[in-house]
This record gives sequence, structure tokens and C-alpha cells, in this order.
Amino acid sequence: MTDNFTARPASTAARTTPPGSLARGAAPSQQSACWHLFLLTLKRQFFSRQTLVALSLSALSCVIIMAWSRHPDPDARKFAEQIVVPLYVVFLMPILAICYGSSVIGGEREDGTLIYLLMSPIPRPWVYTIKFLAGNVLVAGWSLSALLLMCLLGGASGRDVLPVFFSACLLGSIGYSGLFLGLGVLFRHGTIISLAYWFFLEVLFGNMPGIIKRVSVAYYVRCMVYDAGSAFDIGPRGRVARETFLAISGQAAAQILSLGIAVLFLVGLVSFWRREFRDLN
Amino acid sequence: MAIKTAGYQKWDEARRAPAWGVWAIVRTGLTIVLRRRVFWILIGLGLLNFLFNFAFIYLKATLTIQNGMIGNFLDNYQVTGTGSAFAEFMFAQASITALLLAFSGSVLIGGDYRQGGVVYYLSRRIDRRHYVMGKLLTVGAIVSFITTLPALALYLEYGVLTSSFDYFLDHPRILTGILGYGLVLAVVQSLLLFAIAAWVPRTVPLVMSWLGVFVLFPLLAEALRAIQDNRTWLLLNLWGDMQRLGSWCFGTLNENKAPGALTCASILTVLCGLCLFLILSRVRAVEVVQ
Repeated sequence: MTDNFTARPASTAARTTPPGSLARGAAPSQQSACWHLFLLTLKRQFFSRQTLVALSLSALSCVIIMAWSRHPDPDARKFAEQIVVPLYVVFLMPILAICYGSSVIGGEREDGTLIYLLMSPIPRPWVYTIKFLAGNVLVAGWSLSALLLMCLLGGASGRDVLPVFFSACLLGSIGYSGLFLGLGVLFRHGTIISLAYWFFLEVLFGNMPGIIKRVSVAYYVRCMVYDAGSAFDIGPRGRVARETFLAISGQAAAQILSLGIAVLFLVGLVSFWRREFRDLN
Repeated sequence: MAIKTAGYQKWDEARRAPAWGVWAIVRTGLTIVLRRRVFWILIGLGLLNFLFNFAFIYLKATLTIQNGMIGNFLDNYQVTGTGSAFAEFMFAQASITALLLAFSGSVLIGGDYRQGGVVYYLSRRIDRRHYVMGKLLTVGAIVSFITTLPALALYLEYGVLTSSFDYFLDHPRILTGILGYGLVLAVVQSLLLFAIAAWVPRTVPLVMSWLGVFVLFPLLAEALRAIQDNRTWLLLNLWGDMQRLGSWCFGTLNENKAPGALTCASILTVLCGLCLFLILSRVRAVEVVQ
């Protein structure tokens, strides 16, 4: 990767060669270097062992849905409350985000290749932005594909609830990806910190009564889902959970999630930009 | 430079048996894990439940002495010094241990594969079984640190805070239960973690695989059980199997509900055998260098 960047400064190349017509042997422009990094990140993350594990987890989830669809009386509300929320929203979506989100930067640190990335002439904010975009593409793509497959396997109930979950899960997966990517920048053991965050804040606090659950991403995703799925009477499982959930409107939840994604991106960007990494080798 | 000036000395004493290497591996492994701050943070979070129970037992003991009615009211909650309460406590701790083990597996076992530690260990005077036993004992020690030791502390607290020591004499089964359930958790989880970490050594895939076993298998078991209300499918829930075996150790298992303790023990034994096979087939001293 570094060979492409060391011939001469990218700005010089941009001045001397017209865009889109790189001479043979000339250094790539900043844009092409960024594009190359984007593709490289996608390729490194996708063709990895964690993709195999993600595939296995998605397959296992599909088996669970196939087993559930054989129940005597399946309907859209039960499918959403008993399967999609506990299996997908609470587990699979955050885990896929940990899988790709935290390893986009964390994997480079673990492999000792972050130093090559930082040595390249691409400015650090650009590097983080590209990594952020690549991570989001992978997480959102994989999450939505898994959701689509699960809903199709769920039969008529699944097809009914697919539009209910789609936008919420898109925002949720991007939110998780941004969060775990930021944790991967801030902490050396970003994956473990992400895992602890998921377990304590998303799973434990996310199921507590009261407003403490508002610190979790899953809360806003669930609010969006419950708002969009009001026609199917989708809500938390059980009478007590319904009374203590204290949902906000779907629109407000979407706005908070979008704002959260922007804030997380900025925090991660500034942290990556200003930080002196001491574990480069 | 003479070798003595470098600090090396000839060892004239008798060499100890290679089995002592197991202790060295345990000691080193625990040192590696315990010097990470993130591990202490996870332990701190994991012990929140213990602190809550500790305070609750103290409160109950104090209030019971002053007013027996309040003590009876508090008996509605789980922490009352009964076998089922301890079984529930240890099960909750085991859930938190799963998180700790994801980290420990990555550092202790995955790190050895990623950085060539296995080759180093096996180039010493120890055998493959010593290495495996050392790592298993390290993971088992971490499991016991989070599950068995806090349960023992609560048991002692409950007994000491009552008016006499009759609690210890009246409830010997609880002590057996704590030790038995702790042993089951330590053995099964350490073997399972080693098997997964040996085949998936990198942190992220290891964490995902470990959590997949932890979360998805119970959901699958419940989905399959609900089709025809066949409770045999619950055997797929490995954590449930360990919990049932633990409840049997405490003497609180409802024998009328399948699956029974013997069936769960058989499933876990087969699982442990499979894990051991996977571990031994992965732990090899030779690494081909091209």
C-alpha cells in the first residue's frame, strides 16, 4: 500500500497530470489514494475470518427463525417481539458492528499496520473518514442483508414487519458502527471495551425500567420500531415492560440517533487526528 | 564475554519434574491477565452483583435481629441463603464471566497463537499436556475468582451474621453446591474457551464465536422446544445445562422437569471430550518455516 504513496507528493501529481488520466508510474492523486484505501479497507475486512464467523452467526439466526416459523400461530407482532428485537436488534446488529466497526482501526493496531497508514501522505482526518465510511458500508450492508434474509425466512409475518425495521436498523447499525469505531481509536483493547459497553449498557441498562436505558443505542432503535410498527401493535414484551419502557416518538428517536452519529464521528475524527499512538509496533 | 558476567549461572541442583511447569504457566498467565487495566474494570463491573448481594445479606441480618417481620419480607427476594438463591447468584456471575473470558481467551490463548507463544512453550521441557493443563487451570482460576469465591464469601457472611453457627451445620449441601457448580463452570467454560480460542485466535472473531455460543444456542433451544413443547431440545442450551447441573449440586433441581441432571451431565461430558479433541489437535510444537 505504501509503495503507491512514496513516489512524490500527491499535490504535485494533482498539478501536473489532468484528472482521470494518470501517467504510467506517476503518483496517485489524493482522491485515488483515498479510493484505494477505501477499497483496501473493505477488502481486508470482508475477506477475513470474522466474516466467516459473522456468516455462521447469521446462519444460526436464520435456523432459529426457521424453527420459529413452524410455530402453530405465528403473526407479525410475535415475530417482531419474540424474534427480531431480541435476536437481531439486541444481539446480531451490535455484534456485527463490533465485528467490523471496532476492527477497522482496532485491527490495524492489533496487526501493527497502523504505522503504515499513518505514514502515508493522506491526512489523518481523511484516513478516519474513509475508515468510517468503509466500516459503515460493511456494517450496514451486512446488517440489512441479514435482516432481509431473516424477514423473508419468517414468511408472511416477516415480510409484514420488514418496512417497520428497515430505517431503524439502518440508523442503528451506523450508530453502533460509529460508536465502536470511536472506541477502537480511543482504547487499545477497543473490541473488549465495545463488548463490555454492549453487555452492560445495551443489554443490562437497556432492559432496566425508567429513563436510564436512554444511554443505549438499542433504546432509540426500539422506539423507532415501536412507532413505525404501531399498526401491528408492536411493543415491549409483557405488560410491565410496556408500562415501564417510556418510549419517545419515532421521529425524535431518529433525530437523536442522527445527531449521535454526527457527534460520534466528530469525536472519533478529532481523537484519531490529535492522538499520539504509542502502540504502533 | 564470559557467560557469568551476563548473569547466567550453572544450575547444579536437581531439576524439578516438568509437571511443575503447569504452575509456572498458571502463574504467568494470571500475571499477564491481571496487569491489564481493562481486566480490572471488567472484574469491578462483574463484582457489582456480589456487592449488592453482600449488602443485602448484611441488611437482612441486621433487620432480622431488630424485627423478624422485616426479615420475612426480605425473604421474598432471592438472596436469603438458600440453595436456589446461591444457584441464581452463581448463574448471574457466570453470565458476567462469559464477558471476562472473551478477553482472557484472546490474551491467554489467542495471543499464544498469534505471536508464536505455543512454539516457545513447547520448546521447553514440558509436554503438550502440561501446556494445555496450565492454560485450562488459568482460565478455571479466573472463572472461580468471579463465581465460586464470591459465592463462598456470601455463604460465610450469611453464616457468620446469624445468631449462631447453626447455618453452617444445617446447610452443608450449600457448600457442596457452591464447590460443585463452581467446578462445573470452571471445567466446561475453560475447555470451551480454549477450543474456540485455539481455532479462532484473533480477538474479534473469538469474541463473536464465544458470544454466539453464549447467546444464540439458548435462543435456538427455546425456539425448537416451542414447536412441539419437547423439552429435550433445551439440552442445546449449554449454559442451561450447567445451571441444571449446578441446581442438582445444590439439591434444588426439579426432577420432574426434563432434562434431568444425568442427561445434562452426559451432554456436557461429550462437549468437554469434543473440546479436548479440538484442543489437542491444535496444540502442536512444530511450525513449518518457509
